Amino acid sequence: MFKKILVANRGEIACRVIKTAKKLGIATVAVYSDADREALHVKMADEAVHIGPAPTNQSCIVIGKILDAVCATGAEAVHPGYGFLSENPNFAEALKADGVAFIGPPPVAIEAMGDKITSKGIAANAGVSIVPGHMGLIEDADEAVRIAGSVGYPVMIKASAGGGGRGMRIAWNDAEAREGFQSSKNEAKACFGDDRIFIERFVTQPRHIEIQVLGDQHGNLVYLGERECSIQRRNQKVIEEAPSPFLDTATRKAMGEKAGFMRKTRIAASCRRSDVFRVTGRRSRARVTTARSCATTPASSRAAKSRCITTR
Amino acid sequence: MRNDTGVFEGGEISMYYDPMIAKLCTWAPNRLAAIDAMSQALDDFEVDGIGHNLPFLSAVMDHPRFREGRLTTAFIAEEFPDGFVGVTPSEADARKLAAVAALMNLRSEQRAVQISGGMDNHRRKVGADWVVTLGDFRFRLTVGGQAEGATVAFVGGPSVSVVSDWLPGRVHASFVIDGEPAGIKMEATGTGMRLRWRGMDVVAHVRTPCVAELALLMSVKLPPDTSNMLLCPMPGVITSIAVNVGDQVEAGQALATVEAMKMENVLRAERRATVKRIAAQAGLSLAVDELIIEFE
Repeated sequence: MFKKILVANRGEIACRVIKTAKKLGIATVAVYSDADREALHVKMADEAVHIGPAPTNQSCIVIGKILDAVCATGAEAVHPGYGFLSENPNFAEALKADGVAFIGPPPVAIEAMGDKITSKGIAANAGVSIVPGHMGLIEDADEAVRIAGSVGYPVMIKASAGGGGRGMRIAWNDAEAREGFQSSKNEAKACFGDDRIFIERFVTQPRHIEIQVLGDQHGNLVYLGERECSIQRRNQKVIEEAPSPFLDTATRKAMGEKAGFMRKTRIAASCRRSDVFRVTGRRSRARVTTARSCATTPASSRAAKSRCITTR
Repeated sequence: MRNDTGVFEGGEISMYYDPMIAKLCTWAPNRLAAIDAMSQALDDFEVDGIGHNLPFLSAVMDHPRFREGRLTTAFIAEEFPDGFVGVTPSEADARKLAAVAALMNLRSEQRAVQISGGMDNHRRKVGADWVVTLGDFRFRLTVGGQAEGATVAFVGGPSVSVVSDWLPGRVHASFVIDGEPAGIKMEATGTGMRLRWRGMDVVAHVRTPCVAELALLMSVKLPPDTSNMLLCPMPGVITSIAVNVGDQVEAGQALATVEAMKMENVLRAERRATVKRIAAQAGLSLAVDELIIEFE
């Protein structure tokens, strides 16, 4: 077990990680920008390191500043929380080079699953049903319109590097495909610095169901049941519930095993650290693809033991 | 019930980061019980001083389609196509809130007549007959006060019993209305009392029959007409304006693009109109409801 970890995040998630670390007897280091000098996570942590001005691109997502904080405090591992650097393979790679554990998936897995085009390929190879569409990159708006036509409307135009609902547009006709291609591209460039775009069939009546997966370096892997996150606004989750009111036992098992298998094929060869890692953000790619393909399965029996509703 | 948050009383919520301030979580042996627990927890949860989505979440918890579990990612767009403007109370709910307002009014009046320095044999008597207006509802009722609450008899309608330990000045209290628990938030506003419960947000006026008659004669102040204006729907930066002064625009035509939370939002014309004035330009940061374009 680690003696001291650094939490490279803020707000609710930093507080939650610190609480759990306290229960486990692990010392914690918080990082804070000018805006967070008095924040709760700073008060809760055993140590806190100032990492710069308030804007995130000058503090929270600057890899060098987090590495300096790790170095200054002697933390053995970094918990990235969600958002910020949690899905950044360069960050995971930089920690690895410094011999610091990253509490999350290995860089190669982040890279592979963070890219939607690559991850769809992995899912297809792992036997997970995927949404039909064009698996390659699209050069310009004319090509987007042509491909959208051949995939069949409605289509979803997505940024390959996208996430958190950004860089995503639905198009029902040629005009919308043209416009959606451009705004997805702009948004992707602004948010992720990567404007590669692809197109897939838009699943009507989709649900967003996620499967939590936990694995270690020995190849042990479990799935922790699903989470229904269909209530969304502007592609941001508003309400989550577990278990999903839609899945029956058989679908739940099939989805869990597919999500697990998909993880396993990707990670077994690449995970070397001796620590349990939580596959945080990247899970969603596995689950979105799996979940959406299952949305056409009719629901039958319900076998729920407990229910949990979360609002945000 | 669990509340995960990174804020605390007196803490500052910075504009630099994600606007999510808390995750509220409830658990129960079955789905509907978990939803009901969430409803109650939301009624007892108060965030003040900023805009927030507590009433919206309450509305979803009470929504029949959500309770049936018929969810898709388009739920909000389909069920709230014109956005969310608060839950309109049903007549049954309006009666419950009217009874709550009547009890609160009774407690306030009973305290008011205890003012010191009065002549003991000339103290004002608090009457039993009141008229409660609440949105479009107007109820005539008789209030019978008891130690823990009141029985409110609606003229030409049912009687409702309300029990609560509410005292004047409190902004939240638990009520038991006809045996059902309800957490209600309240604040005085003008001569009325603003009540919030289950996504409803109403102002109740409790008046004596005589004052209620006179109140009917008061004219209603209309809000200014903004139907000829394009207002910024959220705080954000104008990234482009797609029209010029004098342009005729068609319904559905793109007018401007606003970037907020790193998302590009295209603002479109709701109907055909001619551009009279452009108040904002690309690069400008606007607050919610700030004017972007004015039409003729």
